[in-house]
Amino acid sequence: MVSELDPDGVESRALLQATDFNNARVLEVGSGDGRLAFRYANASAFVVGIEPQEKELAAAVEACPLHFRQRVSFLQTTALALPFRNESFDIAVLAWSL
Amino acid sequence: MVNALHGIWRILAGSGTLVDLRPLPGQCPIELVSLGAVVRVGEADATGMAADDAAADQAIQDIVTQGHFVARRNTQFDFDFYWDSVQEMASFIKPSKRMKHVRPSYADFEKARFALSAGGSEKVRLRCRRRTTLAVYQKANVSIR
Repeated sequence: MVSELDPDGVESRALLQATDFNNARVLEVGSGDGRLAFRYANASAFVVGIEPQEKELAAAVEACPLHFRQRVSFLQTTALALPFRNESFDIAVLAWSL
Repeated sequence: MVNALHGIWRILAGSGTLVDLRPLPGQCPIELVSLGAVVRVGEADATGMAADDAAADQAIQDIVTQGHFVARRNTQFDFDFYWDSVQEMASFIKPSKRMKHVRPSYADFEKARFALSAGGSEKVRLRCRRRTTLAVYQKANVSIR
């Protein structure tokens, strides 16, 4: 158990500086408990987080703030079996998952 | 890994962006952090997945060489983990695939923490700082067959 992760938001700041999430359709691969997705979801059109581990996925769904529930969703799958149409995302984030 | 990257290429729109975010393998400093001081007390060996990291680097290099993605940006930063106690830190690190051993020992960290906290009266947290890389690639139009 970690008491706190990246409390200064260095990771999300680096991510937001590196690419433009504004109105973007985002796929996060290895979304875990949703920690990172919730930090850029505000700017995005929508976010789909994929995560193979059921426990992490359940934690993400549980932690998803009410105001994000229309545009942030989580799915149990891997990058080897992406159930999405061609060209349906603008950004793919590999979150500690490659 | 290359197959996964091919799948990501497929679902990305033209000129879409791939962001590869992951910690670098290496030795990570472990520090005690109190209101008035930061004291380095040891390190964690975070080379547990070095072979996987090397394979990931190779997979990325392959898709760039094949022309499916173009490298745009690469930056590094420190990602901090904080724990309130040595026990919490140990319960995180021991089962971790990436972080394995600590030096000198959890017992030494506890002794140092107790000393810095003036016998437990001041709050002292433990911090592990991991160097992390963030690389950005843009989808190119070379199709995947």
